[in-house]
Amino acid sequence: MEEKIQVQAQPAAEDTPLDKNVRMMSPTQMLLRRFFRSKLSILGLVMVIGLFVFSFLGPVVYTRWGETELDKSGKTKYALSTTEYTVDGVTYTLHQTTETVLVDNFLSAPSAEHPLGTDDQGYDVLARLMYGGRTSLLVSFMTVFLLTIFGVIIGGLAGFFGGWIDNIVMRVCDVLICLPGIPILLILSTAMDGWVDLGMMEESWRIYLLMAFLTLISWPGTARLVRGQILSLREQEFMVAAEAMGYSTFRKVFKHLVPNVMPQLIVQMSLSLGSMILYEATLSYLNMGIKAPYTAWGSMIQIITTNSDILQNHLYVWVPAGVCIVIAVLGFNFVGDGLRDALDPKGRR
Amino acid sequence: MLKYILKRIGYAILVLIGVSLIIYFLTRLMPVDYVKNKVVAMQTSGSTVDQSTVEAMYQAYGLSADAGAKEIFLGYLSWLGDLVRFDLGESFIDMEPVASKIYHHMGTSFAVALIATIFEFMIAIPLGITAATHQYSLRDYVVTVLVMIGISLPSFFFGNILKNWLALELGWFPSSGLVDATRDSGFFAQILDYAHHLFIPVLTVVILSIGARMRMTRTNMLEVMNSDYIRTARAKGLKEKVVINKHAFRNTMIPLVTSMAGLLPSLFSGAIITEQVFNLPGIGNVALDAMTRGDIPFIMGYNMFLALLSVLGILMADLMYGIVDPRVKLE
Amino acid sequence: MSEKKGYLTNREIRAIAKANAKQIKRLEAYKNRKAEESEFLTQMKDDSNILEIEDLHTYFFTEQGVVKAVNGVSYDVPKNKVVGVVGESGCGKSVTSMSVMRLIQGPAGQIVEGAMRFKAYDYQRDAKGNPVCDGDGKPVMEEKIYDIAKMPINEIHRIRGKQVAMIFQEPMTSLNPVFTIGEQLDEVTLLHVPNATKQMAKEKSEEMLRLVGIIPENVYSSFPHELSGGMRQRVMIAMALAAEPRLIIADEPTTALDVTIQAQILDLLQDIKTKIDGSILLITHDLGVIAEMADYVVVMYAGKVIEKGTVLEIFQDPKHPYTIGLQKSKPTMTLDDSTELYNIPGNVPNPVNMPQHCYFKERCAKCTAKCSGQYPGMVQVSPTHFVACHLYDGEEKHG
Repeated sequence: MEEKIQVQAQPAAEDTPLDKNVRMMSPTQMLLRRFFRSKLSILGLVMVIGLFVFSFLGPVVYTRWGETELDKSGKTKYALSTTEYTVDGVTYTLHQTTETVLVDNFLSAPSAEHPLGTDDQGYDVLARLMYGGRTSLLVSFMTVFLLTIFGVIIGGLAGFFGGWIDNIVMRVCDVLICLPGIPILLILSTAMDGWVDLGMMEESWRIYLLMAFLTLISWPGTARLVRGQILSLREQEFMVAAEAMGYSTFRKVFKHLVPNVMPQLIVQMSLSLGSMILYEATLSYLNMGIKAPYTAWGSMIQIITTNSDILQNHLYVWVPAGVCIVIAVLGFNFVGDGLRDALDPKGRR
Repeated sequence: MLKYILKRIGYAILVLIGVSLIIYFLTRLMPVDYVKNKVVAMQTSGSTVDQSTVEAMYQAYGLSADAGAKEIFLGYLSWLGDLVRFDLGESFIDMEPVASKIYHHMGTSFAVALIATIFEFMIAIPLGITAATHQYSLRDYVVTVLVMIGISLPSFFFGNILKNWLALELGWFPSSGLVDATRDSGFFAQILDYAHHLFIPVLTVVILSIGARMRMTRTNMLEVMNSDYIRTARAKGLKEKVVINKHAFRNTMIPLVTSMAGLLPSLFSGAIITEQVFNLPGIGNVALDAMTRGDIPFIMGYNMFLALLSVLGILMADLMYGIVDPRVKLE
Repeated sequence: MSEKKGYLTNREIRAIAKANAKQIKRLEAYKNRKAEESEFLTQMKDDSNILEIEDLHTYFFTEQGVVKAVNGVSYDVPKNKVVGVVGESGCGKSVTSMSVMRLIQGPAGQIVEGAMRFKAYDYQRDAKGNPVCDGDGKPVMEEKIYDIAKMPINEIHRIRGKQVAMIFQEPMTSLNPVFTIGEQLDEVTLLHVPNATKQMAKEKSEEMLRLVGIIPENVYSSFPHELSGGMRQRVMIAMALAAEPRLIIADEPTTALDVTIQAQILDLLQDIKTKIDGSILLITHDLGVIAEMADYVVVMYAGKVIEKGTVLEIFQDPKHPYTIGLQKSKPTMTLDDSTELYNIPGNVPNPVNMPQHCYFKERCAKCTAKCSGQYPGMVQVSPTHFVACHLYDGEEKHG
């Protein structure tokens, strides 16, 4: 106990008054410090950045195989068959080896040519993984972007104007929140299948429609958050002050309210990124999301539902995609949690 | 209190009508034409189908050949009318009434969910509490990482990994289904057989759901531990163990018990992915099958069932809140 | 990042974090250690005191630097007296009292050095730490002097509640919302009275409730949220009294209440003062409360005691310019309309990076050249009156 505590930072100049002699951390410093204090946030950031580099820069470096390029080098398949037949009371057994030469080099084990092997069609798994990452990350980012805009506008209107607008918006939110998410998306996916069959849409539109549908069922969460925040902020003194200053509605909302909602919104966004990846992957896994010839991480796992040989004996086809999904979701969640701790003024140590 | 409940039930019915409207229209968007498929199947099997039979079938299934918005709306009204008479229609696939089909497959889903939920709470609450009371310690970090992994694992991936490892590689458990064809007929043998089959599915569900529950417990406990009344309890001279296990625990339990009540209805809803991975005859798996085959009555019934469960969950959580928290009066 | 004025550089932030982590680790280990009773037994300097705080330092290790909330505080609480501690908010008066209860929130807040000697009336303990019993199986009591600062945290339950009880500032949130008033009151008796039964505890609780002016039947089985703020504070007081402690710390007991209720609570404390056999440490920023209640007054400023004495000395003959300023800034009925109420210029210092010189220097009207030098030591101006100001250097009057 005898050890004296040293003041670490240099005191300010002699003439500064004592209430101002403290050199503080700037808000940015404080935010960064709190964020990076947790090793998990750093890990999360590394994971997310790593996956981005892998998916978006990977195909630039790894040009050997394209997304929809089949390995046509061929594969020889051997099948052994045994037939027994009896001639004059003597049983003969005939062992027969059939050699089939196939055009596509499918399910080839990892090699120099294919670092992660090829899948059941003959696509290069590593290349598919990169392009699939693009799809998955793009879908989740776009969806979160859209649903945030949607949620902020609608929640903001409801919270700021209240009255019947609020009433209607909240009732709609209640209904949408009670909709079962995955089943609804499955219905919509089946509908899209039909539209493609009928020629009403192109297969390549599916990804955009998927984003739209994900947005439509996910915005109520954000809208509720924004509305709740704005309702409580509206009652606070600084809004009364803004009112007294005669600011325009636009200024009040966008200069005084929105910045106060931002912290929670950012946290919500980073956590939604993870859940959107999961949504999209689950749909793709059920073969109701992104479909061939395009790919996503979930779609790459989908084949194991039809072929248990791949599930058991060709791990290189589906495990890497699953690992990518886990890394992505874990990364977004770590970052989101770190941001929550950093932005929450109550959570100080 | 009674008035409050009645008001809430009335509102819940309104929400359900909204939900049913959306689900019905979405379902009718599905172009999977069951009648056409059936006709094709009948023709390939050799029987001749004339136009009047087709018409009759459309009539019977309540689908008109080329439905406009008006027909769909009328279809909705007639569906709603049947619903009021507790008639959800018959499944296109096997002609079983939807309600009884849901009822028959509910048991498996419920068993998995119930066992998993019990384990989930039993493991998550103690872990969440120690993490909070030892904030920033090693065990807090371990729990935090476990939480994150639980939240982040995709069920289909993790389920398949477990299936591949525990069932296919090691052969300790069956990889799919609920019963063994060659099982003994004794009661205990039967129970053991179920347990054997359900082990991996339950494990999957527990690991995937435990994270969120632990996080909830930890956050709550942290909030409670920082409150003034915990300081009062300490100032009384109570030992830290009593402070945590009595004063803090009772307060932490409020949101947990509330969430438990909210979970109760969802126990029946079935886990689509887990049931699909392990090929369990649960309601989720049946619904998935119905959705891929365009079984409109069943899809409608199932989705309404889910919506009803979630409305009930919200209602029960609110009521529970009024019971466990002496501060809350329901009005 | 550019070195903006008023902001710390990143390097400094890292240095602070590193130094903090080191100190916290050391102090936490000291706090959580296991120790023999003999390690924290000590002797009083003056036997008429019940509590002697000497050179107490309680710091908060924040990201911005070390906040020396209590920076070398010394004062005594004599037996059966009321000691009032006054000062602006943030001067460290509450932190001092929390230190006595060892309720400082770790890991950031730590008692760094100093002694808090407390005269406890506790069980005689054998070598293993178990209470010694006499022939009838009743525990033997004896007077013991504990140094609270040296006690490991797992021994602190010897002091808390039984010897020292505390009434907090926030009656609205200080009672556990899920237990009834009765349950929370009974707990104190059941905990501190050996072999207490539920029935005994209930009787004791009801007696305490009556003592604080509550009809027990109305409140005993109520939940805290059903009571008003004033009622809750009465319950808190009843709870503090239930174990018959030797020292009650009342940390701004009236601040959160409205004025009429404040008066009632003060009357109650005044009343209790005569009824109990113990001392009260009253912490407040309200000079009126002090004048009414206290026998001795301690004036604190920026984590240090600047003046202490009997209530008459402080009110009739304040020495420190800050105390004088405080007296002058108190509104009185006799003040005529033309004279404006005095205010002390400037603000309370932020207790990070304090200089060597007097902390009040720049706000002080009577500042001299000497004030830029060392921090002034305590000057004794009468047997009971001490002041820390260079104006009185050389005016020492001993006993």
